[in-house]
Amino acid sequence: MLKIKNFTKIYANGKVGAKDLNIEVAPGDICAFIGPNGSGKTTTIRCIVGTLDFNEGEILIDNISVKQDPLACKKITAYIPDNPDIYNTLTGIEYLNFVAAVYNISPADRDARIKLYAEKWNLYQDLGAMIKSYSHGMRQKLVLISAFMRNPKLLVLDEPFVGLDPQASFILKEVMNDFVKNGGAIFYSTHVLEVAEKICNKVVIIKNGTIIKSGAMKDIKADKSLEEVFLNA
Amino acid sequence: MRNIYLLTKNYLISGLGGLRGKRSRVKGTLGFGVIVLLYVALFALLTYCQMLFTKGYADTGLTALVLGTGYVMGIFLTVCFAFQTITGGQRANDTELLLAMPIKKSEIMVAKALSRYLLNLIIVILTIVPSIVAFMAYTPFSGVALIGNVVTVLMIPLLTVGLSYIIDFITTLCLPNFKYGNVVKAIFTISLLIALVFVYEYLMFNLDPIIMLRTVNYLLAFNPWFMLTLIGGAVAIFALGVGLFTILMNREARTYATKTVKFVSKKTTPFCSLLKNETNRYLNSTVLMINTLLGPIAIVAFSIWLLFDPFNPLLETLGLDNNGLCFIIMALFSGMTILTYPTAFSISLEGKQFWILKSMPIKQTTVLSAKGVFGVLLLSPLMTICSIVLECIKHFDVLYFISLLLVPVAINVIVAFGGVLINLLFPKFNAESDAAVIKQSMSSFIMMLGGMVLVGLLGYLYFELITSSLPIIWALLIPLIIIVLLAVVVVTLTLTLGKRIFKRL
Repeated sequence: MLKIKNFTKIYANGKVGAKDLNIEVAPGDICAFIGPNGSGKTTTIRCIVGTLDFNEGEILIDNISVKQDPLACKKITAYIPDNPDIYNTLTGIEYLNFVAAVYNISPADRDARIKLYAEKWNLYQDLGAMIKSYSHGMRQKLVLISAFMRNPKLLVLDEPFVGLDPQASFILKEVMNDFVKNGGAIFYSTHVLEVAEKICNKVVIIKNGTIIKSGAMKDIKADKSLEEVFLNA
Repeated sequence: MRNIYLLTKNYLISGLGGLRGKRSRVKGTLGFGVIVLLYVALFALLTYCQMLFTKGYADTGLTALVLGTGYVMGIFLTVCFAFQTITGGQRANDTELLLAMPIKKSEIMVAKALSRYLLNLIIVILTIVPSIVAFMAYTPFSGVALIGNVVTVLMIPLLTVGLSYIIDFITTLCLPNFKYGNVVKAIFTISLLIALVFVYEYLMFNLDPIIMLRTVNYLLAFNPWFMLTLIGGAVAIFALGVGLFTILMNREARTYATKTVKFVSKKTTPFCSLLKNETNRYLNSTVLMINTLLGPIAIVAFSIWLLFDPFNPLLETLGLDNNGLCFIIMALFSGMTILTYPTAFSISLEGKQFWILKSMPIKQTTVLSAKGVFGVLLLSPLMTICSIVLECIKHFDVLYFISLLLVPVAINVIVAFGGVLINLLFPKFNAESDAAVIKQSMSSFIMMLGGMVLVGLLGYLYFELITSSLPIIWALLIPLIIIVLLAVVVVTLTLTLGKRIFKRL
């Protein structure tokens, strides 16, 4: 579903964001992308979802090149950034209607999916309020709803659990599991290693823009905890 | 005092830093240099025009009257500018951070007020100082007169900033808080501005010249009572305004919420959805509407006013027939158009939400088109309707009517799409508030000054062609063709060059 080949991103000031990364995420995978602050996780994610250009290599989503056909890639990808900055001057439902219109979701599907996910995350009664009155967690939930309602093939998440209450986090894990069981793929960055250990079947550890460990979770961990592997990497 | 100094310095540095637009220092310095150059050029042009105007009165001994009219116009323009900083109670993004620091709320407020004062002072210098320079050039030098003028120039921004805070307090606390309450707040503020226009018109055309002359002479003679009243009044209004705004800062923000969850039943295209999104965001932002609704409301107000034939004496004096009114209407409509440029900060206002547009499966040209078309739809339909109504009543000749219909619309298209392009070149994503984006961004300044230059050049072209020996048909067609072609060029540039810039942002 997601193939990153020899991906390199060097910023205009010479800083290396990522160097020669090779990552593969197949349908049914939940891949954790972990690394210290400033290691290149957000850079990589932004290049995958098309908000940042890159220098070398190839990123393919469902065998479509992000550089050659970015629109087709964006149609099948849902991105949730680490900071849910969304339009303060809209209500929750206005924002969801906007996203649904852009992704060409039929009114019937949209209504059903919004109701489903909004009720799951206990946000339905707040959809009529202005987003500026939402807490961080509520905005995060709204962005999650907007992502899942599109039925994407690839989910790219940057620190998705930050700001969510325990119930919402539990629901997110369930939804993620259902998503991959239905053939989707998830690529997400996180600092919460215990959750990554439980739900991910793949892991990629990045440091200073290069991959230092990558593979199946059980192989990378062996008989240690992911935290120990990360700290000793 | 130290905190006030630090905060004011911080606001000025971040404001100037915001003028940089792109991160590159060279480009930022160049861009800032362009702004300064344009400001100086405009100041020089206005001073030159004022000198010519004053020269005509130099022999009559009525130069003080000319100075007086300069003050009235300058105060009016500065008040208009100050009113556009009214936010309707919207808190700046840095307020939370500052309130968590060991800084008093009053110190934050005074620093904000001081930085706003300095911005207003820049406008006062541009609008009033040319009159003062012209006056001093044609009258014997008087140190007292100079000091009187300097003190008055320094007091006017205090007055205008104080007034804007007082109006902000009234709009925030006294007006309703329903979904489109911002529209009401914006219309209320702009109605006050329109009322000011009529007060200004009365002062300029109906006030007994003896009264104005006497007032100006008090200023020039540094009459103690006059100056004390002026200084005391300005300081008092400023202090009251700051005090009231501090009360607002302490108040909990109230936002609109409804229990009804409204789903949209029809499918729409991404373009329509983006356009609707722009409209929703516009209608929910008081500060944005206040800064851009003056044009549309003024166009309607002027059109109604024109039905009462206020310019008939002027047309008779100039020996023009009914068609001459077309030029006045074109000038008014074009003037309002260049004051209405919401697209010049539409990219910047995306702010931290820019990732939404970047990550969506929408073509860059669709995004840019939606923003440009929004700017056009804000004014052009209204101008078209007003032009048609005026034509039905005034019966202009065909070519005059076509010019009246197309020229302001073409200028609107240039301003709307040009604004998008300029904002792409000079985006400001990390401002502390929407007001900072709208009033203190480089794209805003360039658009404002560029618009004035565009309309000024077009007016000059019309003047040269009409007073030349060319047949009137060519005098009307040539500027029309030029402006329409320019509109096509600007739209094309925005959708081609703009697309590449958007991709890199």
